Amino acid sequence: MDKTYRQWIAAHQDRVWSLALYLLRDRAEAEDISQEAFIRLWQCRDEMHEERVGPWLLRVTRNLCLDKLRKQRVEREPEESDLVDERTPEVALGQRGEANRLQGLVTALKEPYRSLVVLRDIQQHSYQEVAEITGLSQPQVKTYLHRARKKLRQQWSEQEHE
Amino acid sequence: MSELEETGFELLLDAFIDGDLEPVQRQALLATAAEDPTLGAELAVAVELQQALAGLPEHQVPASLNRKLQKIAQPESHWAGHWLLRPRWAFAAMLVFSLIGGREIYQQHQQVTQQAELAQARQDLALVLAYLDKVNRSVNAQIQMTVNEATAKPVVRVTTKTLQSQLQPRKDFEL
Repeated sequence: MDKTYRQWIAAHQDRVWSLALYLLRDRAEAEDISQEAFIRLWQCRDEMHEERVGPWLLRVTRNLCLDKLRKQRVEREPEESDLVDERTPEVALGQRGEANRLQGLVTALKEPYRSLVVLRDIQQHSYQEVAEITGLSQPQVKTYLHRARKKLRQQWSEQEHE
Repeated sequence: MSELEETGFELLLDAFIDGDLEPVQRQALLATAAEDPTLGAELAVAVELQQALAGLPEHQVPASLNRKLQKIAQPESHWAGHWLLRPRWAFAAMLVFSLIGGREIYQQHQQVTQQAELAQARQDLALVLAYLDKVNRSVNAQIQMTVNEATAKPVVRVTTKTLQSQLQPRKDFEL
């Protein structure tokens, strides 16, 4: 079992860490959340099926991140006006330069838009998997993702013309 | 382009990006974009952005986190989770061992003290016994002397009386 578990770590740690970092924008907190997610996986490893590990880990990671964020602010029903977070994410992620400008735009999105872009457009999960991970219906995923993409295109174009 | 047409085009863009369009719909979208420079530019931005998003590298797990994750799967050593090593039990065990050890030391100290006292008592006893022996001998001598005197007087008295009676003239020969 230990060997299998180590294989799961190797296969999923980057995605888990990446999602936590995109959502929390804090390396120390993202590290804590990633560790917690894998501890929970270890605790229920005997009941876990191989194909369920990835979505399960990402769902747990996202929920832990949202719990963390919820403690920092009261979450509202997402509106189009809530798409962009005012804080500057590049500093939190320690990124500079043109290549990482896009990551900055993504991390500036609010929830659930940010999770949807990360899961669908960056990590390339299917709509079904994204719905499963986020707990949203597939139509909700498509609607929110459409808003997020539209916002990203606008900002991407604006920055291109600056 | 009306707002409705714009919204419809954006939805088509998403479907195009996701690869959900039928070949006929795809061709129609491309033809529309070719005719309208604004839509063509939007399509170009959408495709460029989507390719850029898909090409973003995954954040690599830092070494510190990797070490923590590897430790989760490490089997616990035999003693690591032993109840005796848990703080409160370790404290209790230490307390018990301290009490037993203290008692042993106290008892050893007591034994040494008792042995010294015993040796002193033996010396005192020997001295007392020697004194008693001396007194005993003296008393014995006095007793012997007294007994000798006491037994000698009656014997002398009886002997004298007997001799006197023997030496007294008998009356039946008197005339």
